[in-house]
Amino acid sequence: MKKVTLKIVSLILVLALANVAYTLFLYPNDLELKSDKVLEAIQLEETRPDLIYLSDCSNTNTVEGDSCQQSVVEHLNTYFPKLKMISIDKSASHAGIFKWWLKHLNFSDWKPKVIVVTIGLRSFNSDWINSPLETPLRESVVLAQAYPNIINRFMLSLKAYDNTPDSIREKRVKFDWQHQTLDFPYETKYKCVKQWDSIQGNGSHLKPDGSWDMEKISLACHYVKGFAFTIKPDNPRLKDFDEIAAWAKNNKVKLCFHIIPENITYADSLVNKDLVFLMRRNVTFLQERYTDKNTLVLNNMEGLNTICFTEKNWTTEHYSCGGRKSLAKKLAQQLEVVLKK
Amino acid sequence: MLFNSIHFLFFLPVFIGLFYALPATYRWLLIFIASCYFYMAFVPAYILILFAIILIDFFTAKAIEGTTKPKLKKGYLVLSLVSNLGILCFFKYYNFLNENIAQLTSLMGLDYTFKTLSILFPIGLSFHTFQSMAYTIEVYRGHQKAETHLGYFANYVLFFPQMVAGPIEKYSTLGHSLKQPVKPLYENFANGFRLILFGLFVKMTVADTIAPVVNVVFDAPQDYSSLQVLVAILLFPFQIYADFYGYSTIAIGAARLMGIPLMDNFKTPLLANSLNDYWRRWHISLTNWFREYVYFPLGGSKNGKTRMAVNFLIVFALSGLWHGASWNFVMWGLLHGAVCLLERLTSKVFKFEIQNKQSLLNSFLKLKTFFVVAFIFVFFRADSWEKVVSIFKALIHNGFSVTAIPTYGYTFFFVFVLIVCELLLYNTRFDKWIEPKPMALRWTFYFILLFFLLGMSGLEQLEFIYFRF
Repeated sequence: MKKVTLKIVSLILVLALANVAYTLFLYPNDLELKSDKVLEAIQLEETRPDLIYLSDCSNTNTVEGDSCQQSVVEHLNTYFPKLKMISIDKSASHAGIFKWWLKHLNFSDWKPKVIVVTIGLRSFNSDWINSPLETPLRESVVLAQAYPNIINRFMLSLKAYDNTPDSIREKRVKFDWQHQTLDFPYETKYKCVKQWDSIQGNGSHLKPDGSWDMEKISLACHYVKGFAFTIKPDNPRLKDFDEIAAWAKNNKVKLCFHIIPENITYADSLVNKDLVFLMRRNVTFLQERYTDKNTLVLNNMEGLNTICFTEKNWTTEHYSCGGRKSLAKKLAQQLEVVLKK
Repeated sequence: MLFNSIHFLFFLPVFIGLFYALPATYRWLLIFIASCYFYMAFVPAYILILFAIILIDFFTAKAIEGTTKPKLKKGYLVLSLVSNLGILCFFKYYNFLNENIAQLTSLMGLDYTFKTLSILFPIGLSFHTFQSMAYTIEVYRGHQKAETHLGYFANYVLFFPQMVAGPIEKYSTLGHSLKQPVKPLYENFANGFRLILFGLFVKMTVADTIAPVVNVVFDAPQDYSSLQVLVAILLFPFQIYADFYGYSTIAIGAARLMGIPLMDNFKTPLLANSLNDYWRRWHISLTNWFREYVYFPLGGSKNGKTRMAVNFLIVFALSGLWHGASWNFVMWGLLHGAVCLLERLTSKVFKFEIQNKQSLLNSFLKLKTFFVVAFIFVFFRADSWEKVVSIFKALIHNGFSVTAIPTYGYTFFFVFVLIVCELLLYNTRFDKWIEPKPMALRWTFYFILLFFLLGMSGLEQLEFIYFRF
């Protein structure tokens, strides 16, 4: 027994030594290679910004011929030129990823005035939760987990993160579309996304010549799949946002959840008022859940006109230069109190 | 379940804990359940194929033993072989056979249509069928008594450490070991964990660091310079060896934790000084199987040189076909056979008396063998004839410009480490080599291996290459 105990202690020592060597010599390189956003979060200790903005690609996405290339945060910075603002963003990211970036902020002798975390309403839907992009996103935060660095690195090699095959993810989405009920306080023809999508797909838009307008029908179906859901307490995104709110409270950092603009006009004109009702109710739910002394919910879901959305055949939150400027202005007004403190 | 998965790293300790907690009489049941669970992590339904193999061979072996009539004995053996090979042919060679029939008939102006089978190949099927067939053949030959306990026999076919990629064991060794009541011995644990650590290092750090380099070049050889193609060709033998050797070492280590010895499947093949020597060191269990159950029954070398040559080529062609259902695997086997044959036939003319193992001649022979193996492996690695042609074309025509070779991290460093390991472990196994070393040296090695394994292994978690066979 003594021999075994000695071996176990020796093994722990060897592991600890290996961890130190790894952290010193290889970890920074691995972070750069696999978790660049975590590295950006760690490096904020050097730049010490006043505002940190965590986002998906809605912050930076531009299209060819856009009249400006600046991101929402860069526009926002023009309203507060004396403040330093830095964004960390990655396509398709969501609260489940943001929380790992946040955990690597080192607040030993500084703190930002505010951290803004974007909320894309669609990130609560089953399609996004079970997106094939989830595998690379989860991979990108393995090195940020709360284990010793060398163990995290080994987890990466073992693919010890959510790398569910796409076919299984697809099945889950289809299951949710069929089984997750839509709660309306009034009678509707549709109890779930599948029913609604089917109704919408079976000819809801006509061209002037009387033929089906398949482009509009297809987009309407995307809107149904994207926004027709009721956020319920077991939604995994809620747990992530809860964790972020708790983290901010523990670290005594002012937190703002920013509900980013959606094309509500399209949702209304292509689908109907029922969809808009669900979107608004979900936003209200989030505002009620998260607004407290430490956390603000900035609601800009209806903050931009249709013209500000660059993609006309999908539900993405990609804004034109005018859109990004306009959103920055609204944000500036909403954040004024917090930032001028 | 992959050995290089988090799943296995939890599964194994739980299994070992339960194994020693249970009375010896019930352990067979635990091994059976654990092996089914292990296998069903791939495609659950395919366990039924294994059950079919187990039932067929268990009962045919009993029937062989139960009759005194030679014809009936042979009939039962044929039934077992046809069933095993039938299952193997259906899953592995159905499309290959039909494609060839279709090509042949089209040459004759006939129309032959068939429905392509698009199902996943049951992992390790070639290993199970060969191991199970070995049992019935041994019973038929009277070398082995038929097992009376279905559970023990099932475990012989299903034993999870070696079920999907060998080593292909005989019933007289593995079957016997599975019945022994084993006590938890420190020596078994220490050597088991040593082997698992070393096996994981060889697979995850060496093989999986080389793999991305080889893969990108073999996927699109036309995009790379001749030098890069040459580098990929020379790296592949290291990759496949590290991959399979790593697997086998983990398998032996995992079995060792249960006090069950498995045979060595490799003996430093990178240091072979001829192709015949290479085959004595590479995938030893398969070589033994073909020698005992194909080469000797064909007559071996008893009936003259011509007959021996034919037998040789048959065995190597079959060995190629065993690896994969395509002509390039057959060619891979035949080329090995041809070179081995050439070595044998010219052994008297070019008699190399290697007295001094450190001699320059010996080093040259090792290097020559490695190059021959590497170039023949092109037929193994390329997934089609067209790819074989495009690789050799790229090797000859793309020019030797020294553009950046797409290495992932520490590829060449780990190739060097593997060569050092080969030199250190010449003709021995890691556990046997390290056990007598002083404690400080042993722990220095553990530190280095753990550091390489945990901190520097490949990031793609690649499946073991031999799982597909």
